[in-house]
Amino acid sequence: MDNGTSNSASENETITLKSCDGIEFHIDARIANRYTLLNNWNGGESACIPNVNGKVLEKVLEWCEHHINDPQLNCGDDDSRRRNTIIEEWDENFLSCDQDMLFEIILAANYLEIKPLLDLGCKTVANMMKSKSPEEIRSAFNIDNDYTPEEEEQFRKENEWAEDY
Amino acid sequence: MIALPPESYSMIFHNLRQDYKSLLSCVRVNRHWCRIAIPILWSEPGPHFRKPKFIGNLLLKLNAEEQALLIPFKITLPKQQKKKPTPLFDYISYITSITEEFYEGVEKWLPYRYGLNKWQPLGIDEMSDLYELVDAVKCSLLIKLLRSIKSLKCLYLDKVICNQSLFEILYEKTTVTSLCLLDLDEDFKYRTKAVDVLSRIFNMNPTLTSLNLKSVRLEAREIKTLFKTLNKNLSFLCLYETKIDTEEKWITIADYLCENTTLTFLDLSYQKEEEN
Repeated sequence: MDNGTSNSASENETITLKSCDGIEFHIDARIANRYTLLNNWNGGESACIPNVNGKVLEKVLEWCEHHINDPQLNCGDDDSRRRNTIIEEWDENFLSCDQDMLFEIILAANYLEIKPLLDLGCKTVANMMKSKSPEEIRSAFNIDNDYTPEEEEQFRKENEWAEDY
Repeated sequence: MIALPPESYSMIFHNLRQDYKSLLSCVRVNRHWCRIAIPILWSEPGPHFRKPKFIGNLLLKLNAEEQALLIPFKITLPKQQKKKPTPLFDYISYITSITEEFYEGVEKWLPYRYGLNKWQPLGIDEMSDLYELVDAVKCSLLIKLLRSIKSLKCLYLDKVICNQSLFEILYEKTTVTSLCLLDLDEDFKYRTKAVDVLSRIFNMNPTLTSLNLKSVRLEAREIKTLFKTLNKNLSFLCLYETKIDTEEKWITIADYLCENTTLTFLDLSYQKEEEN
C-alpha cells in the first residue's frame, strides 16, 4: 500500500532548516518533501524559515516527525478529516501547551501550509470554546468586548433561535 | 491573545458549525469574531428549519411581491414589531442548504399558528385547500430564500418544483452540489414538467455531485431526458424506488454509469414492479 511518503528523499537524507532567530534543525528530508512550503525551500543544504522562531519550529517539526508515516490524504479526504472531531491521544498531549504556544503553532502551520496540523490546532481551540458563554470565552482567551450593550442585545435577539438547540 | 488570520478563525468556527449554541457564543464575543462566525452560524440551519418560530421569522422578511402568492388564501402574516431596528446582517444570504426540515417547518408552522391563536384563524375547511396553502407558503419562502442566498450548495425540492413562480429563480442558481427531489408519485399531474425543470437545473449546475431521486417514479422517456443532461462526475446517486422496471430504462441507467468514474454511492434498490 502506498503510505503517501513515497518521494525522492530516502530515510537517511537530512536537510537543515533555520528558524528566523537563527536556530538550526537537521530534519529527515522526507518531512520537507511532504509539505509544499518546506519542500519549496529545499533547494540547498539549508533553508531559512522566516516568521517562525526556534521554539515554535521545534514543536512543529516534532509533530511532523511523529506523523511522518501517516498516509497522505487527497482533497476529498482532507474534507472528511476536517469533519472528524476526534483528536488522537498523542496529538492531544502534544497540544496541551500554553495558549500562546498553541496559537503560534496554528500560525506556523498556516504559514508553512501543514494542513493536518492546522486542522488539529483549530479543532483544539474549537474544543476549548464548546459549551462556553461569551463571557467565559472572552475570559479564557483574554478578549475585550467591543460591543455596545445595545448591539450585543440585538445580536442575541436576532440569533436567539440558535440558543435553544 | 495572539491574533490569528481570519481564515484560521473561520476554520475554528467551522468545527462548531453543528454546535449552534457554542457558535452563537463566539458571535457574541466581539465584532471581529462576529463578522467571521455569522455566515457559518447561518450556513446550515438544518434542524432549526423545523421550528415554527424560525419559519415565522423568515415570513416576516417577505416583500410585497413574495407575499402576493399568499393573497388568495387571505392569510395574515405575523406582524413585525414596531420600531424594530434594521437587522445587523443580511442573515438569509448566508444560508447554503435548504433541507427537508424546511418543508417540515412550514407544515408545522400553520397548525402552530392556528393552535396558539396568536393571529387570526385560517378559516379553511377543506384539506385540499390546506395543502394548497402549505404549498403557497413553501413557495413564497423558497422564492425569498433563493433570491437572498448568495451561494446555494444543497437544495431539497418536493412538488413545489412545478410552481411557475420558482422556475426562473431556480435556473439562476448555478452553485448547487447536492440536489434532492423526493416522492413525486405517478399520479402527480405535473411530473413531466418537474422532469423538464430538473433537467434544466442539471444543465445550470455543472458542479452537481450528489443526486437523490428517491421514490420519484420515472417513465423511460423521462429517465432518458434526465440522464442525458446529468453531470458525469456524480459521486452520490440514489434511485431507490424510481420504477426502473424495463430493459430500456436499465440500459439508459447502465449507459450513464459506464461513463461515470467518480461514483462512490449508488442505490438502485426497491424497483417495485420488477421485484414483483
